Amino acid sequence: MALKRYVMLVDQEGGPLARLIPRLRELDFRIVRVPEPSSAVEFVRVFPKLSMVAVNDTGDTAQNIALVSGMRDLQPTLPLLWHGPPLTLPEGQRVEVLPHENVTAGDLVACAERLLYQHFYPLDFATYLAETALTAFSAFGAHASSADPFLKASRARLAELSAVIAFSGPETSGHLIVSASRQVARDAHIRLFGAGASLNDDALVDLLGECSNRIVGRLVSYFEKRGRPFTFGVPLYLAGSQCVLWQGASRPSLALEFEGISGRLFCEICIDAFDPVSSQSDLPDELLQSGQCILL
Amino acid sequence: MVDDSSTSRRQMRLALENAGIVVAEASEGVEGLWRARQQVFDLVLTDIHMPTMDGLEFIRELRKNPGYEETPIYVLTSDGSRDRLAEGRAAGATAWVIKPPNLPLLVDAIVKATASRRHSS
Repeated sequence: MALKRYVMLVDQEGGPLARLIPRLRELDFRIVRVPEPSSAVEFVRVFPKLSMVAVNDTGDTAQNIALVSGMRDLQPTLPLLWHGPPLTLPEGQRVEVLPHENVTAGDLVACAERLLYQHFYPLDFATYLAETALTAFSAFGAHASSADPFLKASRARLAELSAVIAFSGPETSGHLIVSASRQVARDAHIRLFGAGASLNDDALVDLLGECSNRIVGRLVSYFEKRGRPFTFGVPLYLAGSQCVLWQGASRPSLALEFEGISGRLFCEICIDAFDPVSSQSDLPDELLQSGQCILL
Repeated sequence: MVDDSSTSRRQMRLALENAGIVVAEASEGVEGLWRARQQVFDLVLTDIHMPTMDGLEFIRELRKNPGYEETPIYVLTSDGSRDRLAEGRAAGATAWVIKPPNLPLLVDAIVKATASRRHSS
C-alpha cells in the first residue's frame, strides 16, 4: 500500500515548476497541473485530498495575492510553496517561500518533506489502520473492499456525515474521523437493522461514531504496545457539507478512502507525534483481540 | 445495557431478545444507575467510554447498591488497553469483552449467567 500525496502545481505550460515533475513522480507524488489561477482556487475548494500546493509567480502582484489569499481563505493550513518574489499577504496568512532563482527539484522536495512530515505516518501503520477500519465497517454493515491512503493537509471534510473522536496521552494525542455520505450510512444502517429502522441523521452518525469508537479502541492497543498509551473520548458528530473541523493540531492527516458497496467511506487520523522507529519495531503481538472475553 | 451508542445497544438488544432475554437500556452511567435502582437486574452489560458518567465509575457506584454486590457486570468495549482492563477489574467488573463481540458466544454466556442467577435466587 503506497501513501499517495496529491500536489497541485499552479504554473503556466513550460514554467519553472514543470522541471520538478519527474522527481516528484519518482517520489510517488500525484501531480495536478493547473495553469489558471482562478481554476487553482476552485480546485482547492473541490478537492479535499491535496497534500500541498506549489505556485509560480503569475507576474501580476495583485493576482498573486488574490490567488494565494483565495487558497488560504479556503484552507488555512494547507502547505503552500510560493516560487517568486516575496509576497505581502494579509495578516495571519503565510506561505513557504522557495528559492526564487535556480530552484531545483531538491529544493522543492526538501520543502515538501518539511511541510508534509513525509515519514510521519509509516506505511505499516497505514496498513494496520486500514485493516482495523475494514473490520469495524463490516461489523456495521458498511462492507468495503479496498483502501487508498493519502496524506491530507487541509481541514476539508471528506463527506457530509462525520464522527470525530479525540484521544490524548503523555506522548500521543490527536483525533480520528470516520466520514461517509448519507446514502452510504443509510445503506449500512439498513443492512444492519432492516428497512423499517429510524433513519434520521442522529441514527446515521451514531453508526459512524461506533465505527470510529471501534477503530480508536484497537489503536489504543497498538500504541500501548509501543509504550505510548492514551485514552479517548466519546464521539462528536458533524452533519452537513458546510461544517468545518477546526482541529487544534496543524499536522497533516493520514486519510484512507474505502470503496464500499454503495459508495466511499473515509477514515482519517491526525496524530501530533509519532515515533516511526518504535512503530516499525518487531514487537510481540499481545493485543487484546476483538471478540475476546476475559473473565476478571 | 448501558451504552451511549444507540447502534451498539440496538445490535445487542436484537441478539439478546432473540435468546429470550428482556433488555432495558440506558445511554450513560447516571441513567444506568437510576434504572438499576428502579429494578434489580440479573446481569449488567456496560460500555466504558460514555458521557456524564463513564463505565468504570458506573460499575463502582453500582456495586455500592443493595442487590448488586454479586451481580455479573460485563464490560463491552472497543478499548483494548490492558491498563483499562485492570481498572475494570478493580472497579468490580466480572468480564471484559472486546468489541465486536462474538455474538453467539456472548449471548450464550449471558443466558447461562442470568439463568444461574435466577436459579440461585
